[in-house]
Amino acid sequence: MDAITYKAYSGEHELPHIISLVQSELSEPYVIYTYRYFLHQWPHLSFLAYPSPDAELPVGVIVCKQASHRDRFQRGYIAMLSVSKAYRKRGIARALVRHSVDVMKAHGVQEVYLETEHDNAPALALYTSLGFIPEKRLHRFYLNGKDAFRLVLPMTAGGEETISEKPSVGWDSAEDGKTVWGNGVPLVRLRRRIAELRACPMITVWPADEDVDESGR
Amino acid sequence: MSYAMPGGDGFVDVTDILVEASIDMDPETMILTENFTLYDSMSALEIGDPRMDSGIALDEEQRPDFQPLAPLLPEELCYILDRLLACEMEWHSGFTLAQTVFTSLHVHQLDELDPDTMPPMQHDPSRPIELVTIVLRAAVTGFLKSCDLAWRELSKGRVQDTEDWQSEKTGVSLLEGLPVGTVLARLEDARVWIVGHTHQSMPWRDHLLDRILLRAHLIELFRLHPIEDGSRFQTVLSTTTAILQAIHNRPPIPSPNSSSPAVLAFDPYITRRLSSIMPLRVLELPPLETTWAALASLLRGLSEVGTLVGTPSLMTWKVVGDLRSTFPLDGQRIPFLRSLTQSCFFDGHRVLGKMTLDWLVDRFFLESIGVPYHILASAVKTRWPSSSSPPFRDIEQKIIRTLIPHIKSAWYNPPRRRRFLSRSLLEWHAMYDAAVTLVGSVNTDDVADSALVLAIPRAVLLWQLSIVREVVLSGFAMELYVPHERPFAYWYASQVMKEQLSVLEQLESVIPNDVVAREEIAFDRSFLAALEAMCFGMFVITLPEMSCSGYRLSLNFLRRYKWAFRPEYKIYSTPLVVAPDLDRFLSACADTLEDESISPSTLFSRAKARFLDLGNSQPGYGGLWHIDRQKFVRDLADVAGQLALVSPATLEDLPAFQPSNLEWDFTIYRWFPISSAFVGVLYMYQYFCQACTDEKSVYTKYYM
Ligand SMILES: CC(C)(COP(=O)(O)OP(=O)(O)OC[C@H]1O[C@@H](n2cnc3c(N)ncnc32)[C@H](O)[C@@H]1OP(=O)(O)O)[C@@H](O)C(=O)NCCC(=O)NCCS
Repeated sequence: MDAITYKAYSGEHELPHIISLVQSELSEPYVIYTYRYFLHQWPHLSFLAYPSPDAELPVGVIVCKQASHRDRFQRGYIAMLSVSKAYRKRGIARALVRHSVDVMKAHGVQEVYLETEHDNAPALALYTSLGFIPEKRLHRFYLNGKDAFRLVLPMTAGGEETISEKPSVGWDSAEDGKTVWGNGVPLVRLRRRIAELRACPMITVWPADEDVDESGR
Repeated sequence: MSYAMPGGDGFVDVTDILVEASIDMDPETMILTENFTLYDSMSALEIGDPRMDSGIALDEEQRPDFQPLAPLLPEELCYILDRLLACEMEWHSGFTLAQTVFTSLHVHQLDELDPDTMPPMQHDPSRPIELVTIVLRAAVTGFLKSCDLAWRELSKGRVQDTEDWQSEKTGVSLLEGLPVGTVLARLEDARVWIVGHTHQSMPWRDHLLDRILLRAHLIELFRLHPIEDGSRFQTVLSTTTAILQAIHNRPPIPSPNSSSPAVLAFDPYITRRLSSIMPLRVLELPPLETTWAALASLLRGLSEVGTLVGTPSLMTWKVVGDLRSTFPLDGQRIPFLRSLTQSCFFDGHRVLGKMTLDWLVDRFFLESIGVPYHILASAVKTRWPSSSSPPFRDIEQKIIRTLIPHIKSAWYNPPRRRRFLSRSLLEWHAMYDAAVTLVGSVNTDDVADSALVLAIPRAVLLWQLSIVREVVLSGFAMELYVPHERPFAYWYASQVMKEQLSVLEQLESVIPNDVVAREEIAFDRSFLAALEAMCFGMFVITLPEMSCSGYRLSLNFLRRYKWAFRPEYKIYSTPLVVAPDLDRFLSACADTLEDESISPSTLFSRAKARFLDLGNSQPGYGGLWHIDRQKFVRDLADVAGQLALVSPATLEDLPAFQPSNLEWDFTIYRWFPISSAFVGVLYMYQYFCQACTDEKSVYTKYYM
């Protein structure tokens, strides 16, 4: 199988493909201007995944924006992310998010956020595995009455790590590269793990954010 | 989909003009107006998009022209009235008026039902036109008025527009200008007309009568004030409940066929033609059973409001608020009830309609520690070192300002409540700091003396700590924590409760023996001791989940507990009690892992035993809600018991413990996961309950 190829958004000719990738997953489709709002202003933050270097139809897309938050710091927003059904569970979404977050980071972003339906298990698993936390729950955020989570990936300006870092010691690695625990991690390793965390440099300041209630929309 | 040129002769096709105007634009260009927002883009009208372009005629919308005066059979009218109620309840549950109430076409052509201006019609004895011009007209009028009255309560700003409820009227009237008296008079005319018939002359007569009576009573309920009109409110409420029961006991009404004028009286696609700001999807109305159940819940909720407003106790309000926001009863959390409850608690001038603001200060101390405020104040005054009087007013103001929204917040939606509570902690700290500063200036000679004076800041601290605990634990109920955050959250909650217990211990000597507060504190002590053990147990068994880097751990920690790191805290000389602290946490982790005496399963069984002991507790300020509180405690005992069974007995067993034995599903126990071994049992139990209650009426079913 060919390697998946990731390319930045390159123009309106890709719009119909993007719409068809995103639209199929939405209960309430967006009007075309919503796509244009993002793609025309932040084309460099949107990426498409193609099944091979010369394929014409993309199989995954991410659409983002970046703006100043209350004139205090730069904040990135993931507006849309979709991978076509036949190509899921191969790490495409993870790679798309990384591409966008890396560019945002290079542009000085201090946090990235997004909203997703509270019961979208694949999306929640994806983002939390990348270090995002559900910061807030948003009551009846969607017109269908569903709650949303606001997920946030806090970063420090010039922070070292790449997203989704894993602990360096302490956990066994299974063949699929996932860290495992349970059966087989002896207590000493747990202790060592804690000792290692205590020795880690910790981030101790966080930009103040007197988060007066945004309507959350 | 086929698109026709709609609108008829008055319309001109302007496609050419648009094509011509766009010649100068590249497909890649986009002209944005200044400050064009995401919201603007989402609500922009896309020509040709059938969701918003009302000019497009869709196949599914092709329907015969609506005839507002089409004669109806009595059962068809009943069907319409039930659908109206379904629309109303769906609006109450949070959908837009356009998707619900305004899908009734009679709403838009109500004027045409006026019997005085009606064109002459052929008489059909089975479909008397009065059913439309008198009964339906009164019912639609009453239906809109009910919505108008509810809208007025909802728009007071106590629940959030576009979140809890939808205020948008899209230019359609809810008969705001029509006096309630006129509406009730129309319904009375309808009633009189119906009772003028016999069962023979009009089948379904009683069905119809019940529905008209129900509407008249609902209007009254929406209009009456639970405090000012207390006894009338209670009477109307019980009559309404009886009418609903009667409706439910009658045989069901047959569904009309799809060409019936009753079915054509609703157009779910109307949203496209109303001027809404967003494209709205068609809402499918729930089965009628659901609507009756929703109404039954609304009535039960009103009944609870009625009881609560007659309970002038701060602590009872706190107990009920905490219970209801943690374990919402089905259908009783609708925004109307949540708004009304807040309005009743504080209307802007008085508490519970009659108490002055100072009442709050008195009750705050009396109910928290059993000591009247004037005794505490005079203890300070007699020991005050200078001739100026102590700054009581400042503390009193702070208590009042903080307590009112605090109590009300239990009737916000849960996520909003949590955000409100975490922000309010700064104000609680300001109050605590003021109290600490006040008593710091007092000359106390002996231990008994100082205990009394120190009770002032301690009472504040008790509330402050209980809010921290609520913020942390409600994060579980809202599923906010990712696995690596759980150990900290449980550990921190246990630390907060330890502190609460030690404050209660310090207060022991000042709490009089024969006061309700003592009962309440006794309850609290056992409850906190049990919950503390449980949270500590959870901390231990989730320790292996700390699988992230120190960088990520600390960044996410600062974000999660940002309420405690606000720079404003620096202006107070008193430090935050039990501030979240990652270093302390990590050393607690290290110490715990060295302490071979720790047995997670024992912690849980101890918690279970303590929760069970509470089964014999005195009601304290739980009042009528003591039973609900006991049930809550029994549930906690259950989950503690389950966790005791699946948890490792020793630390050595901890690494072998499978977290997959736990189901991280917080819908059941809110603050705790459930053991997978019990999930099956639980579902079987729920299935069994469901099967039993299906047999019974909806009333019992929705009360569970
Ligand atoms: C969410 C979505 C984009 C994931 O795309 P994907 O390419 O399959 O995801 P990846 O293969 O990159 O998965 C990365 C991680 O996400 C998680 N994940 C993805 N799909 C999952 C699923 N179905 N169930 C559980 N976890 C899942 C896993 O943690 C996975 O890591 P792992 O493979 O190491 O276990 C895709 O399911 C999708 O398009 N869904 C519909 C649109 C949507 O919900 N978008 C997000 C809203 S903002």
